Amino acid sequence: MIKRWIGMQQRKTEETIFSPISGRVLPMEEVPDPIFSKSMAGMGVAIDPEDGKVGSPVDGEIIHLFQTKHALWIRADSGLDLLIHIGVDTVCLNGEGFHHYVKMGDRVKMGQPLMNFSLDLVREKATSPVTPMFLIHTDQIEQIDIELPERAERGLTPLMKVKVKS
Amino acid sequence: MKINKILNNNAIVVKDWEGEKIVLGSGIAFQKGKNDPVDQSRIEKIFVMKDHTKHQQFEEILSTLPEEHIQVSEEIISYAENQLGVVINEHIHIALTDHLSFALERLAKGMVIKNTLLNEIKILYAKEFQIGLYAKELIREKLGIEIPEDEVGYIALHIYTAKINAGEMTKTLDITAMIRGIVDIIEEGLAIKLPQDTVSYERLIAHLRFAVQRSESEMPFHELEPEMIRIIKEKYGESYSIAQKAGRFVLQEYDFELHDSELAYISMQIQRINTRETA
Repeated sequence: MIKRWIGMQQRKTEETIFSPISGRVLPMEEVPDPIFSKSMAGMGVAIDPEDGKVGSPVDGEIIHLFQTKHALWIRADSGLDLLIHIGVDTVCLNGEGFHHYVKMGDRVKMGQPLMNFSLDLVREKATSPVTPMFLIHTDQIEQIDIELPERAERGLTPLMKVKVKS
Repeated sequence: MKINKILNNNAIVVKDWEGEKIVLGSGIAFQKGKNDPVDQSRIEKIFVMKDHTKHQQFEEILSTLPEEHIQVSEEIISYAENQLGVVINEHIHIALTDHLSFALERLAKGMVIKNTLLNEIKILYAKEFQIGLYAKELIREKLGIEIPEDEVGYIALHIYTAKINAGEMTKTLDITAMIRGIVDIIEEGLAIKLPQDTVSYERLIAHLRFAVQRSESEMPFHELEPEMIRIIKEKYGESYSIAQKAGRFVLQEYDFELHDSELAYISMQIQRINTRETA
């Protein structure tokens, strides 16, 4: 009972979300797809990848690994739900070139390798390699600051600072 | 209530002491003109949009888009609000109706806009996707048009966005839903179920519609003498308490106050059903 209470007290209310991929940083409006560019999906940022290595942007849990392999739903310890979607219209690859190092339910640490993909294949077959990362449930956000540096380093560059709604 | 402007067969603008309001209802403008009294029994939804620009946008949509598209869109929104348990942000009435109409026109020309996030939407916004599937059914039923799953995904996103932006920006009075809620309370209170295709049910709905109508001066439709009201409270205690429960419900959920006269009137309806159904 007491242990649970302490656990609840320690729940984060502020979350810093780091870049899952190394590459050039772009605002959502520049993602070549109306769902992202017109803000129909959640708030976030996009990266034009330099390589196919994807690391966890936060400490958290893998909630869902999509069958198509190019999208990941992570729940940060603060409760924030994040989606990383490799490339635009990557569904036509049908998972080709994607390797996962984690599975659903796994706990992950920030920077931990999550998956690897073939950047060449994505560049060739998808509409674009530009990778959006966004907060799935906007009503979890109290306040959000999105950073737009020129370039981000996987596991090192902070991209979003979020105050979580209690 | 007088018609200030006709937008289409099922949508009008009225003006009262609170300002301009948009009123929707099947056939509400049928064979009517400007300044004609509003047929209150046809009122289904009333919108008071605090943002004047939104009001203008909504008026424009209602007067330019095909009526069937508007009707279907409103039905989808009512369903969504019911399923999600929230009043969705007023903007959905503009955004969804506009999107839907545009999408349906495109589909008629054989153009489909692919939804590149479809697989993810099904999982991330599952509830909203379900509502989208309902919309697909409704569109097939009412318009005879088959919308692809890509579209279902877009509808889901619109609904999600509107849901989380839900605020107190519009007072929307969904009379149909309100009456349905009152019927639920009556059924619950009497521990019976009234099948919808019976004369009994139709009559109850009609009586309830009259009960929630107002005149220009906000006086209730039925005016009973205080003595009469007292007798009804005494004689039909059980029915009256069910009516009171309905009164509390509409006040809480719809910010709508039922006058004492109306509560007494509704009690009489409840009593009638009670004696007949349990005879």
